[in-house]
Amino acid sequence: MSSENRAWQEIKTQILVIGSEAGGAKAAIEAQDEGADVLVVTKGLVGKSGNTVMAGAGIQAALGHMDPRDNPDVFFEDVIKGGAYLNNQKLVEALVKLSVTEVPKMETWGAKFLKDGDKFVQYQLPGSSYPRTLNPIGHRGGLHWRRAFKTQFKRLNTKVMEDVFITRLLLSDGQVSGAFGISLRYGQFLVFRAKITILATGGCTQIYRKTDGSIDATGDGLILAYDAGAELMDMEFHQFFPMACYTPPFEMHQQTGALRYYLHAKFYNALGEEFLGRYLPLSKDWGLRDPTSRAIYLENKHGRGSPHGGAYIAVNHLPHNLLEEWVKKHPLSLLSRLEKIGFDIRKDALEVGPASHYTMGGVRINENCETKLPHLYAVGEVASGMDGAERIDGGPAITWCLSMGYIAGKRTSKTSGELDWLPVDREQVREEQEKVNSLLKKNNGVRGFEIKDKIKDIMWEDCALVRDGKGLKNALNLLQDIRNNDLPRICVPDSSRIFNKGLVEAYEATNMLDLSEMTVRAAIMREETRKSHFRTDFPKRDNKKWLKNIIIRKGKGKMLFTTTSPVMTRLTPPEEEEVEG
Amino acid sequence: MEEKPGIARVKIFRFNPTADKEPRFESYEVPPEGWSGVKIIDTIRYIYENFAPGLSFREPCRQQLCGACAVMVNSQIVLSCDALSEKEMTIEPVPKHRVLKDLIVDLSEEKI
Repeated sequence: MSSENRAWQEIKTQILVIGSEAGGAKAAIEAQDEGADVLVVTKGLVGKSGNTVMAGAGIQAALGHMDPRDNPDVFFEDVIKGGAYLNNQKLVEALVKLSVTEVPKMETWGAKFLKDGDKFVQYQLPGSSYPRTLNPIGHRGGLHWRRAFKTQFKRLNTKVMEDVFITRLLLSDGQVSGAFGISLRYGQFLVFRAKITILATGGCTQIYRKTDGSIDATGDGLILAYDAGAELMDMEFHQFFPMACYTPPFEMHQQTGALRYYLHAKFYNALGEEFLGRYLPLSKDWGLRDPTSRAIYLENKHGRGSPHGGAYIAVNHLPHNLLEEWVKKHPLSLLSRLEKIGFDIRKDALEVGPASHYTMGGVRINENCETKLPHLYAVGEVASGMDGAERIDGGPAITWCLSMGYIAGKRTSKTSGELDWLPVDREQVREEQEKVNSLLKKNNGVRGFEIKDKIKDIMWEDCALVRDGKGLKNALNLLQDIRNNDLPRICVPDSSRIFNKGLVEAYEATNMLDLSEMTVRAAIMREETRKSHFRTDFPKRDNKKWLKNIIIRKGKGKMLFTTTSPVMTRLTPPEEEEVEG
Repeated sequence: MEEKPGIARVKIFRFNPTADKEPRFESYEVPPEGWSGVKIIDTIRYIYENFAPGLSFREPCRQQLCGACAVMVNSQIVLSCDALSEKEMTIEPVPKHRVLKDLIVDLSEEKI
């Protein structure tokens, strides 16, 4: 299909969705249901890339099926308090309302949930006022979400292009006119012309050494938006999950969560102490993710950690027959896998520990999921504003994807109808093509994965669970070294355009370096402790100075940081707050 | 005394349909840190990082969830993020699918 006089293939669509999993899939489906012409592109395979397929044991919706006191207003309050009042309340209001319709809709699309008659079974997890978390059968939510989206893609005959790596958004007079990418599968350059572009590319959990997320989560979409002139927000906030499997290494982390959430597993340090009460006197083993992760981290700093820097969780305090009944009712694939290697949860403890899990920050959007750039939307983890300083426990991430996907899909199906395609700026296309071609010619130097490795260690050491000014400045210096010494020497040893991992990793490493620097700089700026951002040199929450979001945009040759007050509609922080952990 | 793990001999299927006339196997000698006690996906990555920078393979989730990293090792189909590496391995793409490059086959859901 490639034109003879051009080095790229042009593809026109009304709505371009970048990212094929929960947020992107939902946006595409809702827009198509309104009759819009949609094209979904993904850097991997549909249903086999990103974090959605790895989603675990729960998804939240304010249904009140197990407790009629729950409703969208209570959900709203939990989210805002959980996010320490930095959330965009207009956005959260819209999202919690939509949870009531869009989560149950997943059942009609083929997802299967634990039910009691016609009611969804809902569990109360840390941070929720009432039972709110629906339980997908087998605790492997991702497989249900994948099936549900697949049925809808089939019904709507959704157009999808896989193995397409988008490297740049295209602008026409400051408005987004589409995107430039490379087909890893076929090796061509692609120019997508779209009336509306929706980013749904996920977060950047890969900037940390230990992560339970997909290797795809390198924050590409954040940098696409930033480079094009959109704003990013709340980049200092990253969530760590306390129960990643350290042994056996990095397997099915979400299912260890099931042991904690649905069997009230206990945490132990290497001395056999139930140590969480030392850090979390009120919630103990039922603490939120970040404080629990931090407690494990600190136990290790005190020499009481497990061999790989974690802690132990066990359920052997429970009566044998209760465990048998539970295992029968919840046939976790993790358990059968553990049994194969001689591990019995009825007796043994799993070695678990913190891992980078979710990016609270992201592209700044309003309650319509619009970014600052005309015709550019962002949904799901790539966006910010729904979580504030901390995403609450209990599975709101997929709920947010569904709600934002709904909003963006419905809205863009209407607005795109009134728009025309903007012209393609050939100069931008030529520039980006040259960038790729020159990378492909640079066969010697520093490879993308080497840069990634350095970044991950720096971020884990000095900008993860426990931060201070000195460590953050050290991290900034080390990142600058990479920028000055390694980045100019970045290379791609193989010159093929087909599935060139080195090429993709060169882009990803560059993206991760920018995102790490933003995280560190924002963390230096925020001289207080707030939820996931924990500063030992500023241990208190400071609502006088820091009830603010940090906004980042691209200036000439540097990152520009400003602050703004969060969008508050009805909930403000009380004079005195009880803060644990 | 425990036997030292030694050097593993790993053969990998290589084929770029846009450039190569025929597929071939390339052999790599992998030291213990690249194969002993680690998953097959880790050995594939070790080879990519140290010997074969043009090697194409999939590794999105590494948690036995997505299924994209399936390959055939010593004639058995496995998830490379699941099975442990062995000292003698022949790694090929899963059969009955068109090879797009090296270990990547067409598992496409693509529709345009």
